Amino acid sequence: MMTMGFKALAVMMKFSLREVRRKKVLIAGGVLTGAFLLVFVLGLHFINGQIHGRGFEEIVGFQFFSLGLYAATFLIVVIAAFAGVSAVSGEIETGTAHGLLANPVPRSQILLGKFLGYALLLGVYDAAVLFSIWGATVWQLGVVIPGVFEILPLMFLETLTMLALSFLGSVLFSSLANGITVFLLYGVALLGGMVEQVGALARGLSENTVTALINAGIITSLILPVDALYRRSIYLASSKTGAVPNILHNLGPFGSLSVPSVWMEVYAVVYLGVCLAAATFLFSRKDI
Amino acid sequence: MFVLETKNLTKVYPTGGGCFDITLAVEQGEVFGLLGPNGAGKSTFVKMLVGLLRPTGGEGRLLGLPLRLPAARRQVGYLPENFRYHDWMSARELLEFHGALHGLDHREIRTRIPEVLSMVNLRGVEGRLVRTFSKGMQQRLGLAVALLTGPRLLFLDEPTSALDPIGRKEIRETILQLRGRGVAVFLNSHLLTEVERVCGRVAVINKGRIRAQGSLEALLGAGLEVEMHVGGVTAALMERLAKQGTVTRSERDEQRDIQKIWVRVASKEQIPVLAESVVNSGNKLYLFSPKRSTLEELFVELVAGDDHGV
Repeated sequence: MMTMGFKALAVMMKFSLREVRRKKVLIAGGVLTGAFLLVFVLGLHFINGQIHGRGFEEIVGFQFFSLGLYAATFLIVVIAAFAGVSAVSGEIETGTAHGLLANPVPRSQILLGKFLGYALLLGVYDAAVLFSIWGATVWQLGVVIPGVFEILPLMFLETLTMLALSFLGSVLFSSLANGITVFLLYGVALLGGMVEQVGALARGLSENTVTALINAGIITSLILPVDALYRRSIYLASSKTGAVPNILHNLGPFGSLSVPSVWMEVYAVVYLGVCLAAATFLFSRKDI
Repeated sequence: MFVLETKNLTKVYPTGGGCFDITLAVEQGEVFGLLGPNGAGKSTFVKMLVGLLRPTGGEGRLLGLPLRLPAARRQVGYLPENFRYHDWMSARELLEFHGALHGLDHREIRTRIPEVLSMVNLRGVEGRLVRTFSKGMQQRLGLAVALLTGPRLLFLDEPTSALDPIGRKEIRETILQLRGRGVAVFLNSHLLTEVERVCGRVAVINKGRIRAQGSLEALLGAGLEVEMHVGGVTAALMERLAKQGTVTRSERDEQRDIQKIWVRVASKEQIPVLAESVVNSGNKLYLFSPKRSTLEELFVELVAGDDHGV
């Protein structure tokens, strides 16, 4: 027999899934993701046939896959942020929290149930988008990108990290303030990631400058480790490619010349846990 | 048995407002009214009891369990003042959702839904989305949610604010039915006549503090007032009247050559004694009208007295 707490978790998960379906988020998300994939496939289609030379297909295929993955990650992180941005604050602002929280259920179960509902949905979405990009690259260019099963958990970790941060913000701030905060943080993380890659690429610069650029990226990764997880997933895939030197795959803004260590994965898990723990603790003490 | 007990329960907001040292108890099967002007602290008090606000002092128990435990609310129903529900659900889905969160199994929920919808006169609209409901229907639906689990203690915060006179009467009847079944109802309301009709005991709260509490009989009995029109009033008569009660007003009506006197007495037994005093002292008694104070008068007196005292 399920305890009341676990039952409440299941009830809230079902609630989140139903809410997403009812508010037509699935339809809108599906249609727009379809449009995104169509553009990606068209890009691959037009580049196909223009590539000549042994190994060149692999480089172009990998670069396109990186581009697709980068864009998909952006979409997924934005969707995760949107999903959580009003998870708690929205209930308070609309007044639905009064009826909901008077039920004999710990608030932590309500928050975690909602989180797990969105996480389940976003996990399926992550897999669908990743395999679509991967499949399109194989289909159009005949290039099989390795390590896709290593990319998926990292992609899911990125999603969960952003979702947890957004949930924490929704306990602390209004929906509007939370939306602005998480998007700005994401912007900082993206920019920091780019700056770090530029630092690793710009060999002509002084050592101090390169170190400063790379450190800037590391610091922004500690603020929000989403971009670092993307860079690590790209590195994992590129390190398994064939005879072409790894550095050629990682040139450009979507590559990973400055590779985050495995500790960044550990840090992201801790970050996610701390965000969720803080969100549940603060929510359970919040006056409604 | 007390289903609700609080001792010095306090909530102080950062702004300094809130409610302070609230001590009261509600028995099983009792309808208890909490009255107070806007901003008096009524909703703050109820929100503490249903777990929406954390008390900053004192203690409270629901059905014997401390307020801080969610399990204390297992047999408690609550209709919030702001009865807003997830409007993308149908009425049935909303009831199923709240029933499941309360720990009811699927079969129980299916059985209870038609019952509670009948109680609030909403049968036949189960499949409609909540967003298509009028405000009054949403308030009725809120009451159905509160009743779904068969609570032993029901908190109703302004339960008729969106209802027409017929709806108000129906809710009043529902409250009386629930009382008959042994359910305790804690009623927060501005509508004093409504409270007077259904509540056995009331508390009046103002500026966050309880100003009076007790049975309606005890509270209103103390306010029994007699209006007299007397001819040929002397100082000796006024002295005698002052000994038998409190002379609250005295006006001279020159045109009719009478004195209008209002005397407050402690009990109805003093009414004939008062009449005898006037007649036996040789004065002419043109009018003698005992009147029991209404809850409204008591309320105004307590709240206005409070305001003047500040």
